[in-house]
Amino acid sequence: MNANYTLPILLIDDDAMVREVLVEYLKGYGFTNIKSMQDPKSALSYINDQKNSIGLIISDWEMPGLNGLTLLKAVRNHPLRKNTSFIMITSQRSMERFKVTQAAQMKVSSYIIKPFRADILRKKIWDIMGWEDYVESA
Amino acid sequence: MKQLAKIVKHKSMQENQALSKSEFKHNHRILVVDDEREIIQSYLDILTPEAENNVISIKSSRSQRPETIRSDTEFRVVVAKNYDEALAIVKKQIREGAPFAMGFFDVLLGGSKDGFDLVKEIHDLDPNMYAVFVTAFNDRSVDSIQQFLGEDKTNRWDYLNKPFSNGEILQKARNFTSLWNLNEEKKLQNAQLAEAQRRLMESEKLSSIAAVARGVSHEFGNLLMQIMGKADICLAEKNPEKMKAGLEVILDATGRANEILEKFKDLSNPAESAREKTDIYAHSLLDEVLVLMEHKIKVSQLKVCRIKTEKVSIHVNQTSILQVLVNLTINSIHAMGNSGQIDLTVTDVGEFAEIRLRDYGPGIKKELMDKVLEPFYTTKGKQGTGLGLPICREIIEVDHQGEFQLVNHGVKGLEAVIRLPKACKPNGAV
Repeated sequence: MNANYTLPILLIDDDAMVREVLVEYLKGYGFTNIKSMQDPKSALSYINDQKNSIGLIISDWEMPGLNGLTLLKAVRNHPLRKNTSFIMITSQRSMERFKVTQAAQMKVSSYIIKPFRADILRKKIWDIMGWEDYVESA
Repeated sequence: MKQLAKIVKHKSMQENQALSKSEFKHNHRILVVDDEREIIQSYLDILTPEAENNVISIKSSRSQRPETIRSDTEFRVVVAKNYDEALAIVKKQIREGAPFAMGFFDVLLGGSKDGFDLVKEIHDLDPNMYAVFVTAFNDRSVDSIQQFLGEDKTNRWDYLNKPFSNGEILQKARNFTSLWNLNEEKKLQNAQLAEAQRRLMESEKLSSIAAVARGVSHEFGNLLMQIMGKADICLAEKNPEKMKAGLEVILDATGRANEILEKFKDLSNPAESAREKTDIYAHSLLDEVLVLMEHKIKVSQLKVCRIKTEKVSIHVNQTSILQVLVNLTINSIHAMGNSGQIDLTVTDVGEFAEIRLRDYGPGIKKELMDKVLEPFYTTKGKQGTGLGLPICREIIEVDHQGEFQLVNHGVKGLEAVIRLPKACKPNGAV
């Protein structure tokens, strides 16, 4: 199976600049259907609304009001979304182990520590989506 | 302060008990200076009745020692027959780290220098040693001895008239050696206490630094993400305008990272220079706190209101005042949970600058108001060491001669009122 560039991706990060970088990464890979959100509470409503089509969620862990783990739990408890791919991003190395364990329990698809280069995220997406046309960039 | 000292002492004593007992060795060393062999022998008979090394066998006529005043402490007596010998022995003992606790000094030593000269000389070498002058003549009034030895040594000497009784000698020996030991033991304990207190302060400081460090680490993750991401995007970018825009973002992010790092260095500087005080505007310190706490403030959705900001320069140790303000802010956030608010005011109130930090939490129950300022009292269970507020108070009141008060706000929440001395030169702030 080759990459589906129209895959609907939901991106949640409260930091505007990081969000901008990630959107540019995703566009750079060729994705055309990206929904980026700043507020995790709005993201939760978006996820819970089953009219919205979501093929992949990429979320920051530490956000005001509601963290990435809560979003992950909501996704896994949602009858329509329990198998939706979910990539967790974090920058807190000190809590890494604890977080990995917690996220793993909630069946996180993948886990990335900031900062990371474009290829890293691209590889992870291709891996978890099971796409076979990943080519290392020059 | 006293209360903190008491409790810290209690805690540190528990930890150090074994240590302090083994470290402090009681000193029962006594110097006897007299040029008459018989007198020396009397001293030995009185002070070291069990000793076998009473080399001088002549028994003094006065040494009719009743059994009841037998010494229960083992005095170690060293004798000297003249000024020079005595001084040499004292120097040797000091060198070997085994100074005398006290000495009995004959006044007339047969040379040009007498017992008073000797003690004056000894006190220059070892001001802690007690001296008892033993004289047959009323050759000097106590006032003139005091004048000769100096007022600061008043409690370091006593005198006896010859002929002395066994009881007098034994009791003076007991009194002054135990005084010496008490003094030294107290000095050691005070030093240990100060050290324990310093360590506790230091570790408390580090724990609130840890709280800030987590925020800084998150912030750095984001900044590095921007830098790395934009650089990666720029690499693939053909359009020079877009590349330039990307590089601008990178520069902004590095500047921001540097700013945070500078503030963090201010906060975590544990060196002695951290005790130095400098002039700074009170509101600049609040600005620094907000930069340091930015992440925590954002994550807990805290609203910060600058109610009033008067420009007033204070003379403070920036590191420790930052500590206090960070501590208070963290406390407020804990008390309010998410979506709280703190109000900050800086006002000029005469000789002090007053910083008020008010939250909208539940405040502190009246009966607990005093308790929260006690060390080791905590409402945070295992999360808190309970040292936060007392240390804040120490820093403000002891280190800065300022005032620290916690009051429940009339309407809602807790207000910390900090008064800090203003800078000497009102416009001297940098």
